[in-house]
Amino acid sequence: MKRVLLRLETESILPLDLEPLSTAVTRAPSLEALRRVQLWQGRRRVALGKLFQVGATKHDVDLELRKAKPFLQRVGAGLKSGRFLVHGDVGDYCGRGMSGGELLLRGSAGHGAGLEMQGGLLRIQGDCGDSLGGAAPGRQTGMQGGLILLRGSCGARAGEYMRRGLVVIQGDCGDCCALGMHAGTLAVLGKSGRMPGRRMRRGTLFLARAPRGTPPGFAFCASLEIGYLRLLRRHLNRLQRGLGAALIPEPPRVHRYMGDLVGLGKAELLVPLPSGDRTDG
Amino acid sequence: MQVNGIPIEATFAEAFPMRVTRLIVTGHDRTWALHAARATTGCATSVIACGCEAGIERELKARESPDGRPGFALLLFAMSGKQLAKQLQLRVGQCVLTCPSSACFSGFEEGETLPMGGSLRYFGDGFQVSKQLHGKRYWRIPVMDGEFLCEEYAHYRKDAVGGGNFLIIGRDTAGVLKACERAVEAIGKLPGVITPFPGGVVRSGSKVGSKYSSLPASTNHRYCPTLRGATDSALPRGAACVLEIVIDGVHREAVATAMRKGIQAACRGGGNLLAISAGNYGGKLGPVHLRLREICRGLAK
Repeated sequence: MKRVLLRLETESILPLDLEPLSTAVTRAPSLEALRRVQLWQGRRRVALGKLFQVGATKHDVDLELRKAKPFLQRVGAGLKSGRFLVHGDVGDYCGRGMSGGELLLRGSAGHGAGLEMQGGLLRIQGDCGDSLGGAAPGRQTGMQGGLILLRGSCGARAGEYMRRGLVVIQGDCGDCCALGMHAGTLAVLGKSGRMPGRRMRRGTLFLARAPRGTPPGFAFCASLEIGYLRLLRRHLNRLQRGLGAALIPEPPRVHRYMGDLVGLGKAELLVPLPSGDRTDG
Repeated sequence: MQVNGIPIEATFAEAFPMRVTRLIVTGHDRTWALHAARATTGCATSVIACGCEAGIERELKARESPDGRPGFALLLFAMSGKQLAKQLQLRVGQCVLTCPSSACFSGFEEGETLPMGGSLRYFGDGFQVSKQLHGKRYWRIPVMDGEFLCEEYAHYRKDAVGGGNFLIIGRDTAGVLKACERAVEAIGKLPGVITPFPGGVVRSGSKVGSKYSSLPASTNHRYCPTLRGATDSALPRGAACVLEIVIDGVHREAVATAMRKGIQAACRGGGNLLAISAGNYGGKLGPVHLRLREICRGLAK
């Protein structure tokens, strides 16, 4: 099935797990079959048709979900292909473990958005909670690929144990962003919380607004142009008009720090030079 | 057949299938991008001794290059993928990596891969960093002016053609040189082709073999004006200078178009030209035969 419209018709205090939708939408042969898909609501299983009005959407997407509410959990989790469009706020683990496709959320998400993501594109136009693109509790493998574009702000530990991929936070982020990061790129346009880049091993943390003082464990290297940032700026401009230009100055001159020297110390923290400041060293 | 009164001989250029890769080299400004481009394509006139044939395909505007800086598109041709891989590593490693402010990218989006940044990264001694964007991996290698940015792979095509050529035969060196300059300028405006010899022109056209057993090629005595009369010369009466324009292209059509445009430009000035011919080995070596009269069809007046 393609171009499915789901309109939520109930309220609930129990979480409703929408992960089965990620595959059911493309596999279900008809809208009737989709209505019969069983979802977990708390401890009970409920047919999708009892909770949602099912129809066809005019948008060029595989699934359009309207009137989403925060009790909807794991929206788009495990998505492998297709395009999902969600209107409203959703709960935790939105886009968890995605390996392909695109999920556009016109609202905010709870904790764990894009958790352990492996591929695909997750766009969130509102805010989200902790562990954006991070690792599940007790695990040390966060996001392993894909791209997350967050229009708003997020909570603590964004990009925790990230191994690959790109996360761009256009608002502020909470404490310990890029905690224990192994590789990949995390960029923050707004303010960052305490201890950015703590225990980072490799990877890039780009903070468009300088943190207060040099983060502990990081050593200043130089102020210079980084050629890779030109590619990143172009890439981001293609994804969202003006995003790359807002994040990365031209020429891409940055203060470069390396850390966290308590550990491997091969990660980099990049902070753009204030415009007009062209001092080396 | 004549073009602007200059006879086009009924012969063909004997060309060869080759492998080609396109590199995009950028720099801080045009000057430094050009330094990198010239060094990379230096001493690459003939595969016989240079290992590859290379040249600057065209200049790129800043908005056309992957990193938004001034740059040049280069074409490197070799007889096999293995040979191309060796030359690529050698030339990017010694000529682009070493050039201040430079960066190097693959100019083809598809085709078989050749390791580029993936093998040069070891120069980073463990401090190199890789980044993946839009499905491509780039290596950032720390160097003394910052970082050398290099794409992991270059791609190459197998349908390239090398050795497309034509000979400009005239009464004096000055007139033939002017004709060559016009031809090379016209060819230089075309995409997908290079003229790898100095100024795009070669005076030492060769034949296969030699009286000396150690040499694979030797001077093409049939086109040497100093030997006319004493050997089986191919030169018309009054010829005193023959220059050859060799063209390598990303495919047969690119070479044929370049030959046509080149001949048209060469014949435009008239001057002391006596004939346009082409170099071949009797059709025994190269499977790609570019017949001058077919190529020049429509140009004849």
